[in-house]
Amino acid sequence: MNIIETQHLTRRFGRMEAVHDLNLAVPTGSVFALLGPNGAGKSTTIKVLMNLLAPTTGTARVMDVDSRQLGERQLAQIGYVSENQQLPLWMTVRQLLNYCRPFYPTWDRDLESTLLARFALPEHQKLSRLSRGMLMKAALLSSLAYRPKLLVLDEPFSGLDAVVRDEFIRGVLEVSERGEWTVLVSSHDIEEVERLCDHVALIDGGRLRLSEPAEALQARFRRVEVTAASAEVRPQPAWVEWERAGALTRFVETRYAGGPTEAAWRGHFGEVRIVAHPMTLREIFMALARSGTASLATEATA
Amino acid sequence: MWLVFVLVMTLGFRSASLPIRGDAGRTAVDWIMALSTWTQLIMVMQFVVGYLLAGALALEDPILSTTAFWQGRPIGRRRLFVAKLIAAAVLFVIAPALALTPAWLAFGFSFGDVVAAARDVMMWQACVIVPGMALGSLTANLRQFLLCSIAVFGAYFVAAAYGVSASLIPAPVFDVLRSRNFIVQFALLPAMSVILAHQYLSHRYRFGWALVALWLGATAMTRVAWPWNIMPPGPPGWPSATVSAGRHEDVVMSAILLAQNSVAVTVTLSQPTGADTFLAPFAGRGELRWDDGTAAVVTLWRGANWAETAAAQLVKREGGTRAVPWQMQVSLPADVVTRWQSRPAIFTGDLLLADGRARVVGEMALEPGAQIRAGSNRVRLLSAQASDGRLRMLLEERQAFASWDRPHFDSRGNLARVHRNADAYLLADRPGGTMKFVPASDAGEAAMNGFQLTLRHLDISSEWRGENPSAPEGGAMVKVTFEPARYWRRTITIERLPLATEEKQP
Repeated sequence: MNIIETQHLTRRFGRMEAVHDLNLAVPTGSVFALLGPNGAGKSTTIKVLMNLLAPTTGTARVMDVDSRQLGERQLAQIGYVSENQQLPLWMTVRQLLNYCRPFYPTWDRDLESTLLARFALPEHQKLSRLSRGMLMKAALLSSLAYRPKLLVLDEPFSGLDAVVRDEFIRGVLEVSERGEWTVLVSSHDIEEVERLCDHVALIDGGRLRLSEPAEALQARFRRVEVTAASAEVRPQPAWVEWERAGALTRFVETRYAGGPTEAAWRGHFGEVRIVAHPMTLREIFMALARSGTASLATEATA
Repeated sequence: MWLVFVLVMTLGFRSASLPIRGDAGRTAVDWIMALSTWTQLIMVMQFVVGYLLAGALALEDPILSTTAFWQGRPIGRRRLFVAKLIAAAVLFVIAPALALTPAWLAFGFSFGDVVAAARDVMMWQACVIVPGMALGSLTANLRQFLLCSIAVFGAYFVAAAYGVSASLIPAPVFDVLRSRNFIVQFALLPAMSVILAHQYLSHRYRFGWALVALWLGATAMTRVAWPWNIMPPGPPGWPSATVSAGRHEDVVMSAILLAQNSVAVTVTLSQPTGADTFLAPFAGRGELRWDDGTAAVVTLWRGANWAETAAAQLVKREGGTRAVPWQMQVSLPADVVTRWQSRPAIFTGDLLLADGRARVVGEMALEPGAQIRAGSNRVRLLSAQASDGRLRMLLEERQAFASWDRPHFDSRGNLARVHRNADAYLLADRPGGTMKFVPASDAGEAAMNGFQLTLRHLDISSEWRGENPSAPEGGAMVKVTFEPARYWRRTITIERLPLATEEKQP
């Protein structure tokens, strides 16, 4: 069951195509990271999902409702925090919470108090006098306190220092432990969301490059080091970041499947020393970003 | 701050006063003209700031933005629209009226005056607030809002300008021009209301701008090419069904030919009235027919000195004791006037009648500084100067003002305005028991948020001096109001009433 689905979603701004033929599925209950460099189309995709922008072609469904038809009932179950979101700066934190509360029948005052304390937000301070990190935490608090079924975070960590980012993530994790919900978080930096996500998608140039569970992704990527490999060996399509330095040959295997893959390496390199290291999500995305990922996109969507 | 500005400026206007002097020189006219200009500037500022605030209110939660706080929250389009309307109404329409109410009451406004002034203030504010919010809803930020406001209303004033069409097309008949003016002016608020509602309920800003373009185009086309007269032939409120409420012999009409093809018609009604109530003809419509078979359609209007006889009778305690003549005016083409000069005409048509109550407001000595107070109405004699057999006086008059409370009559190019209170000033020479009506021409007037200030020159001729050799020492000025009933009461249908004419003596 998917809480978000897009079908051939395209969004153009004049001649510029920000999102192209996007087919994305966010499973219910997942913490889904939408990754990609700046200008990749992440925010545009999220704005279409939140009905802030209309699709040029294709459709997007959120909580089984066409995004164009999202109404008060659905939005009362969705939390949306964006890096560019404007807040009523003339309000205090307390006034912001008091203002938001009546819109949400599921508002949890205990959770509000807990998060208020965890985020160390000054209740009676005007929002205009808060730092950017505090503002983001206030926005997150006002989007978490009603236990939304879907939390959409659009580049929530931009410009936040490590301490605030950690508090932010701990806040999200704390709430996620308390119930069934889905988190869609976009970021240009995998490191920011690595601790959070269990599912990742990579978008670049408005096109989806890959989308799969983080565990599966990490399972099929290995950094391989081969000592004293023959100079005649040529890189295979599934190998990226191929490099030779003296006797050492390095590459990233993108279709690692355990024994069969290792047997295939022996077939190519012969009886030499081959070491395969597991990779972090960050390393995988760096490798994909450097090498180009066109060939993987087909695989991912298939 | 805006509300404080409105209140302070209005009270400042109410307190402005010309010093009492012994002459009625040019400075009085200069003063009232300067005050009028200042008042208009302040009112423009009040409206412009109100317009900008309304736009800012819309931009507080912009519709076009994708980063506004309310977006992504469970706030539906209709809920946001209603919330904005309530906020705009409370902040910019109701609040000014409420803030001004204590001032109105403090200066003697009656309940009716307060209601009329509040309605006036609120209507004008609404005329500014709705366009401000409409443009605010079509733009994403304050800069866009300002630029678009200048562009849209610049285009509107060009499209609505009188000179544009005059240079492009032959001037149509007057009634069609009036119809065009009416449509162009009165379509602004409904058009902006539609655009505002559409924008909030649909969020389709391209279509919203298309509506703006359509409105501007329709304004220009109306100004240039609207071919029909949509204005009613008579004054507003003319009963659809004619009720015969009088006998033919109750009415006597006579006409005096004046300069420039205008005709004053005196209608004398022998309807019995009370001590201070009069049955007054407000308007008339019908046909003049001559014995050679030619005919002309005429419309009669309340004349400039319409209530003078009634007022005089009231002061003389003669109300209701005899038939009262009422001055009506009519403008006719030159050939009709010429025809009328040579032979009597037969009038067939309707007279629109209303009951009216006359009231002596007060009496004051002819001395500078003397004044009459009655409710919100205060008349002060600023100067009285006798020389060369004439008495020149300057009066300062303050009263409640509501522009929307004044029905406007138009007919064949002559504009007649019916004030809520038809005023008359009379000089009463009590020792001799004689009096003379004094036409009170305006030296100038200014109005702001329910208050009106008028300076009137009164110039008493030598004829009056001859009749009143002891004046001004023995004279007094009496102010009389004649207030017609708010709604038209009845009509009299007149059939074939001979209407002889007489030339006015130079």
